[in-house]
Amino acid sequence: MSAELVLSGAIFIGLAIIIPIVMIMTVMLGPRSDSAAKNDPYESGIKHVVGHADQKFSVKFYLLAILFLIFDIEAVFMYPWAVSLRELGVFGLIEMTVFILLLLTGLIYILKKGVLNWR
Amino acid sequence: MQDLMAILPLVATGAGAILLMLAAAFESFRKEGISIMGIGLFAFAFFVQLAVANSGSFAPYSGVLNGMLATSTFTKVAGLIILACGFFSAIAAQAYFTQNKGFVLEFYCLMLFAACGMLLLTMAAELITLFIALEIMSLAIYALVGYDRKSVRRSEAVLKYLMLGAFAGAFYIMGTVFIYAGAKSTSFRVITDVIATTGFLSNPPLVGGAFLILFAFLFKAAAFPFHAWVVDVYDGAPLPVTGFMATAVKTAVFAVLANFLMISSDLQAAWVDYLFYIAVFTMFAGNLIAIAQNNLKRMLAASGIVHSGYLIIALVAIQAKTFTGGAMLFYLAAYALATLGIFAALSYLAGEEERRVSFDDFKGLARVRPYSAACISIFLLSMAGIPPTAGFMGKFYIIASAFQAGHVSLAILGIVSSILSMWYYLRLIVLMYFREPEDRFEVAEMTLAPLGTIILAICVFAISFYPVVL
Repeated sequence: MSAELVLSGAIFIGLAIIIPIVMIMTVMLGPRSDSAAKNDPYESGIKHVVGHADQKFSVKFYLLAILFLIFDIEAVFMYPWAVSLRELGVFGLIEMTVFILLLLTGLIYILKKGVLNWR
Repeated sequence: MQDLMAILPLVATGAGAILLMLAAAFESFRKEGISIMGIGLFAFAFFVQLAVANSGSFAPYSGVLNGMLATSTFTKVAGLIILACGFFSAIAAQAYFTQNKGFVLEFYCLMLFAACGMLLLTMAAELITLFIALEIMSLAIYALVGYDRKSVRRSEAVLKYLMLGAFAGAFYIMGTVFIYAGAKSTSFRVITDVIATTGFLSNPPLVGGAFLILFAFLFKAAAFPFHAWVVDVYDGAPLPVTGFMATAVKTAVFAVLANFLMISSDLQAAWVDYLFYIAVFTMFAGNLIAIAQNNLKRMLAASGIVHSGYLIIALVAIQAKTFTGGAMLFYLAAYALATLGIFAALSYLAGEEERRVSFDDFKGLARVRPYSAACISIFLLSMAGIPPTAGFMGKFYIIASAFQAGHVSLAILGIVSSILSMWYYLRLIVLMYFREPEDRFEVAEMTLAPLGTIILAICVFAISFYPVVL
């Protein structure tokens, strides 16, 4: 147990030392060249990248993505339940009904709040 | 059936939260209606918890939902304290929003969700369940702190809290991974058995896991190395939310901290020395911060750190064999009463947009509003630990338990810290009674908050006569 721990710890510590040393050596010993063409985001071809990468998105994209995630997880959660439905019996059915009803109240809430109105 | 009984308060709180969420979505309910519903639902959940706590045996029952949850007298009483905190915070919030703008209809719904997470947290007997409970609680609290997006101070507070809280959550998850590696299970019962067979200190993953998990809990409890966020976050949050965070969150976190340490006496024994120093540093760091404050809210936040220190003394002193948590719960109840009382009083005294928050703003309050000043004085004396208030009895039980466990130096340091804390509690009383008033302390409308304050002030005396079995 502890021998493996020490060994794996030694490997990580070794890597943590060697990698920075190699990187510093590269900077110190290697040849360097700067030119406008080299510092471009795309070295050849595209001259003008359209817009800034950090432009603002409308919050409705995030909302929609989060809602998709929630109902997606719901679907994923139902697969193992469906496979083992016979063993779970009535108890499992009731539990899943409660779960779906809870999500349904969430759906009603977001519908009433107008989250899904794409303005 | 017994499972259902055990989680009935949880169901009541969660259903109440969903009900309020739907009510907030439909236009027909307005601010006043939602406030009354929120207060009523907290009261309902409290009585459900009370009924559950009084029914059935007091023996620990550890098999709820296949061992995911465990209930005992300790968790039941912690749940009662949490729901009572929610009730009085809701009353304070109703008064607060008659004078402050920026009310969102989901406010009480979020409070109930937070309470739901806290109840689950006190009962959790499995590491993943515990994490989900921690997140239910934390996410609701983050939203409550920063619900007013237009305010810069709220945004600053929520950003600090969210970032550091996320770090604590990450520590917790990493600790869970280590413990799973060491014990091959996340269930508390299995971990107990594993420690009993292999020993705690001879199992490196368990040691590391417990270390990281306790880090996360100590962060939430505002213990010494992780106390820096408290003052800014409590200051930035709206008054009723600060009261709720300072009391209910602390109760839930200390309940789960005690439950976790109780997994094994080996684990507790390995941590006693460190908890000893954490307790001492928490008390004295909190006192030093509190003495330097001119803002009442920041002083109360810093004094919250000091009270965490006393509660950690109780953690040092508990013995795994005879754990009842009586001293800790009594202290939490006493602290919650006093803190909620002050925040309830402040939420109707602070005026529009929390104008009156510094010590000087409360000069001469006793002349203009004698009853409010008297209530605040009672709460401050209880926090300082003057007999015959509940705060005195709470400190008495904690320090007595430290003596019983043989930590005499810790008990003495606790008393010294208590004397130090008189400085900033009594300062406000002096300002309220012995200075000329400069302000008229007008109050906008009649609300429930003054009544709640008086009830809390009576409770401060009432519960100090309620004996606790150490």
